[in-house]
Amino acid sequence: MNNNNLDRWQETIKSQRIEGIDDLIRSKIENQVRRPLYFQWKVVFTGMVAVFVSFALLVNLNPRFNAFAHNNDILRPIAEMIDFTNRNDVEDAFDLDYAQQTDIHLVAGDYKLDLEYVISDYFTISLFYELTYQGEPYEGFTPPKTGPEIELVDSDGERVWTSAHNTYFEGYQWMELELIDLNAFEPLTIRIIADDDDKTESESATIQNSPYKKVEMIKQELNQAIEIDGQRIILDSLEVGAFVSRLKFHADPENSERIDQMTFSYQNGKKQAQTVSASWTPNDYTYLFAVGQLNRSGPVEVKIVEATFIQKEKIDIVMDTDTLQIEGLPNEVQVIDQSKGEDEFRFSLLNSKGNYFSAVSKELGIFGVSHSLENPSRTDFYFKSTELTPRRIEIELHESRDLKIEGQKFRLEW
Amino acid sequence: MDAELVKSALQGDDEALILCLQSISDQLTWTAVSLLGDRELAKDCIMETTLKVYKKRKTVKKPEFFKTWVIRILINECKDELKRSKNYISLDEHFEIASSEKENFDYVNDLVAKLPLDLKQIIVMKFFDEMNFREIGEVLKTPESTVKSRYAVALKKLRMEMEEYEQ
Repeated sequence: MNNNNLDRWQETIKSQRIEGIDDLIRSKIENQVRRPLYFQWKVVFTGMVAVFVSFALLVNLNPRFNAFAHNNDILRPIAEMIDFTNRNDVEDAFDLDYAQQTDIHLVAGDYKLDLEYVISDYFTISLFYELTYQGEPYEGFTPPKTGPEIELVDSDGERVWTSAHNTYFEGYQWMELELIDLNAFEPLTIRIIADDDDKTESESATIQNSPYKKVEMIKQELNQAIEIDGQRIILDSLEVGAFVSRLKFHADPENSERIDQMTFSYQNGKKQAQTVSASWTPNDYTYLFAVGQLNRSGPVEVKIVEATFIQKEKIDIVMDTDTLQIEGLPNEVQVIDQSKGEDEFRFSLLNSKGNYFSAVSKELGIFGVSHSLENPSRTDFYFKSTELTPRRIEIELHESRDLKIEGQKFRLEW
Repeated sequence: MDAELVKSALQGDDEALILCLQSISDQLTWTAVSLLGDRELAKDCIMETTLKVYKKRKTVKKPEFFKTWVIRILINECKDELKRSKNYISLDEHFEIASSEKENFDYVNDLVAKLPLDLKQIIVMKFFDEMNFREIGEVLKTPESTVKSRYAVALKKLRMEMEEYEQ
């Protein structure tokens, strides 16, 4: 190789100077420093502004005062308004080099997918992409015409994500995917599938998702018990990823009721949101909050606003499909409506305790239970009978209630 | 770079931060100029980098990585600038080059400019930021071995292009 040429090229570059660059660096920083001084000048003339500015400076510059202000009921609303210490957002992810440039360009039929960046942590992947249809930004079609599918699959072609949330960031569409498991990472393949006019076209590419650029998950043990109308849940841990956090908790095994379908409301800066998704086994719960290390505007206050309680104790009833007699009902429960069609049965129960019933029956193919919000003491049952339906049908009932909850709140901090 | 000065800068001492950045201003200039090929754009990127460094300095946990962190921000700024301008900017009008050097410079510079960005940035850091492979790996969040092999690929590409040109 002709090293002389390369050496001379280096020397030429090294001879380049930007006039006054050191002074420019100084003035750039000094201008930033002077900005708060300008506000301080006003302090001299306006007492109220003085108090506010001092408070704002304290909140933003003094971590102890910041914590105090956020924990004080009176100061909290103002503190949250003027707290800039944690105003991280997606831009920060780019600034801090978490965004991985991918430069993937896929074409399927009339669609073109340009995947420009990926940001990932250990349980989500965010894709920043542009999708065009016939050269124009794709904005969806009126049903029944459908758009293309974008899939993220592993090396076996299996889907690696469970749920997706779509939004926008600057010029990009931003799709956030929750991963099936923490190891479902590499190698990842993105695939676009266009299904137009009886013709299916697809193209795929591998995403180089560097493990060095993953946002490190922050995990906090919580061990905090909360009592909701006599039932206890124990907050176990909080796992904070890039844009999403997972709250894990379990129900106290001593509870007389199972807690089902909880709704959490939370404030992230000025944005009010509700839990985006959840998964649970009978006693262990995981709820996702759309707030993470890179999009938090301050401490996050979470309120439990709704929950469904289901009695663990069961009531076993038996229905005779010939006579429509129901055995095993407790005294406070009445049959108020019954009918039998050619291949279906209906009946309704009225519970004087005011609760509706959740029900299961192993013997029925098609079985429906519903209750109205206006009259929760009434539960309607429907099932479709077949030749295989036995004469006597066993049904397991559990008293259930939906609860609006007030005053149950806690804070997520990390 | 003076470790104590960097530590003070990261703890909020503005004068220390200015001195730290001024001590590497030449390297910042060469990095930006070699990636962008335009001193005005390079100046803008260095100013933007200065602002980000000022705002984010408290996120740097290890003072010894200060320089690599600044270079990383600058390279990202340059990448964004390249993305905005969508293409490589001709160097001829923007460089002060002795006429005897011009032909050689143009030809090497074109070769370097045509390298893929992931290779070019390694060449730039190696040549102008006086970084070893470990430090470049830190900047790019890439294993040292990958940096080494990319560097070798970049040099090989340049060698082949030069041989072709000379023939």
